[in-house]
Amino acid sequence: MNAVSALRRFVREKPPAVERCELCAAPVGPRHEHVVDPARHEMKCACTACALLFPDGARLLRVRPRAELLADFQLSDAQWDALRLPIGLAFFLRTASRVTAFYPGPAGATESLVSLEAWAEIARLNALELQPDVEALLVNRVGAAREHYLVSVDQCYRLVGILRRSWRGFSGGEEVWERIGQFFSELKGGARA
Amino acid sequence: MNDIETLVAELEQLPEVPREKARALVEATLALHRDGLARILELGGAPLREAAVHDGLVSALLALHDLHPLGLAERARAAVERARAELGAAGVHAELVSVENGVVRARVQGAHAEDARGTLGDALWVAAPDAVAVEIEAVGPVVQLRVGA
Repeated sequence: MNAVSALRRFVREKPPAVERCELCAAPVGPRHEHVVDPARHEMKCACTACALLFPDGARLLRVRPRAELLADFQLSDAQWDALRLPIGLAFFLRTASRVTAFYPGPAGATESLVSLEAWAEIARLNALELQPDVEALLVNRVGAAREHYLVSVDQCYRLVGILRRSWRGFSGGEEVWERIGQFFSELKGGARA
Repeated sequence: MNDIETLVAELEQLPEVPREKARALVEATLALHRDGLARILELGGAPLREAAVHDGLVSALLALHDLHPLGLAERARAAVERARAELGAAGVHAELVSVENGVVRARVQGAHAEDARGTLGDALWVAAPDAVAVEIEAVGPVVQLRVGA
């Protein structure tokens, strides 16, 4: 054993994989662009060039990172219950013609159609304007929380990923709720309302 | 350089949170340097690789990061060959027994075999810091037994 071999235990098994643009395979840094394919509910990592090459209206849409805490958002318990979502965690996406709610679970996000009237009322009360397919209203009513965020859709994918990866057993387990809490405090930290 | 071994041993004694933080920092620092070394090898091409292999320190660092052009067994064999001359002068015969699953086994034989173990062990660790273990067997000299007068 010598100094160099003593360091061997700290050498990672494999060098961390370089993230690549999923459109042109160019390497991208840890902070990179994302594009979504709304028809397939699919998000891809993209380099700046590719993200800019797909202007709005194309099959792929550029996701502009956004996270705003909507401090004055109005959503009563009665309005929430009328949406008939099984857990206190959901995001709402608008397409050209309709609004869809998704709630994350261990198997991924489940789609739940929202009545246009119910949505129209909520949107009108709050003067909410979402960019179709790339921005969402994210609602956190876990425990005592009553938080509403306007976020870019990449944050929703991130939240779904956290649930999928960390959910254990019937109720999720401590770890997953801890991670969800962390997700929202990061969102709040980054969100300047 | 001995400081590193001492510090690594001390690190293991720390409470979990600072220990894992320190570990993460060392890991990230090493990973950064690994990327740098890999890039240098790429930029320098064959002549640099050739020179690097013959420099003890650089060779050890490349082996540490799995960047060495020669495999573990080849490096261990070469280290024993190099040590053989020095040990031979002291009347000790050195040989490589095997390299399996990262474990390097060697044997030293002669009147001063015990003393030679440390020398050969050091040489092997320098050449093969990526070894899982280095085991050296010391065997006494071959004695000619004579029967009768």
